[in-house]
Amino acid sequence: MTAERVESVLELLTYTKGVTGVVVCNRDGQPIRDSFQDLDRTRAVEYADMAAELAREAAPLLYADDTLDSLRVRSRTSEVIIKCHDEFLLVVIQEFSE
Amino acid sequence: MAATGGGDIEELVKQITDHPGVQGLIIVNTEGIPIRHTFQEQSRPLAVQYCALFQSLAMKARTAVVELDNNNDLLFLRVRSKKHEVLVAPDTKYLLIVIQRVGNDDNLPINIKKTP
Repeated sequence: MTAERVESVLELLTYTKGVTGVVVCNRDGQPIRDSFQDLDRTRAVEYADMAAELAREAAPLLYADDTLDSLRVRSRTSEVIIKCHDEFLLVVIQEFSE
Repeated sequence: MAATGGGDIEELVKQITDHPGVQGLIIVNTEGIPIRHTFQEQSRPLAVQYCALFQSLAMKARTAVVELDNNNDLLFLRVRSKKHEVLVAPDTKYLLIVIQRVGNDDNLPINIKKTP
C-alpha cells in the first residue's frame, strides 16, 4: 500500500460521521499518526497505550492457529475500535450522542 | 440467580443460542465460576478457561476506559479473530460471554450441546 493510499484511507476515516479520532500506533503503544489537534499528543498517547495493552492482553485468548483481527470496546459515551496488524494498530474512536 | 427468576434467564439463553452463528454461551459470576454454559460436559474445562481469560480482559478494558475518562464505564467488549468472535457483556454481578462464528469457518474445537 502506497503512502498516498494510507493517507486517503486515514482521511476517509477521520471525516466519517461520528468519528472523533483516529490513531495509528505500533504494537508498543507509540503513536505514529493521529487526527487530534493537541500539540503534545496527549490523547493520542493515551489511546495508543490503551490499544496496545488490550491487544497484548487479548492475544493469549485465541487458539494457536488463530490471530487477533480486531477489538471493539463499547463504553457509555464512545466506542473504540482497534484493528490489529502484525506491526501496527489502527484505533478509531466514535462518539454517541446522549 | 434463581431468586431473580430462572425463567427469564432461560428465555435469554434460548434467545441467544438460537441466533444463527452462535456457538457458545457462558454466564459467569464475580468469582469466575461459570454458573450457566452451553458447552458439553467434557468441554467444561474450556468454559472455565474462557471465564478466567475473558473476565481478566474485561477488567483490563474497564480499567482502560475509566482511565481515559472518570465518568465513563465499560458497556460491551468484542474480540474478533480470524475464526470466531467473542462478545463480552459485563455487569456488576455477572459477565455474559457469547462465542460466535466469523464467516463460514466451522472448525472450532467446541462441542456445544445443540437444542434440536
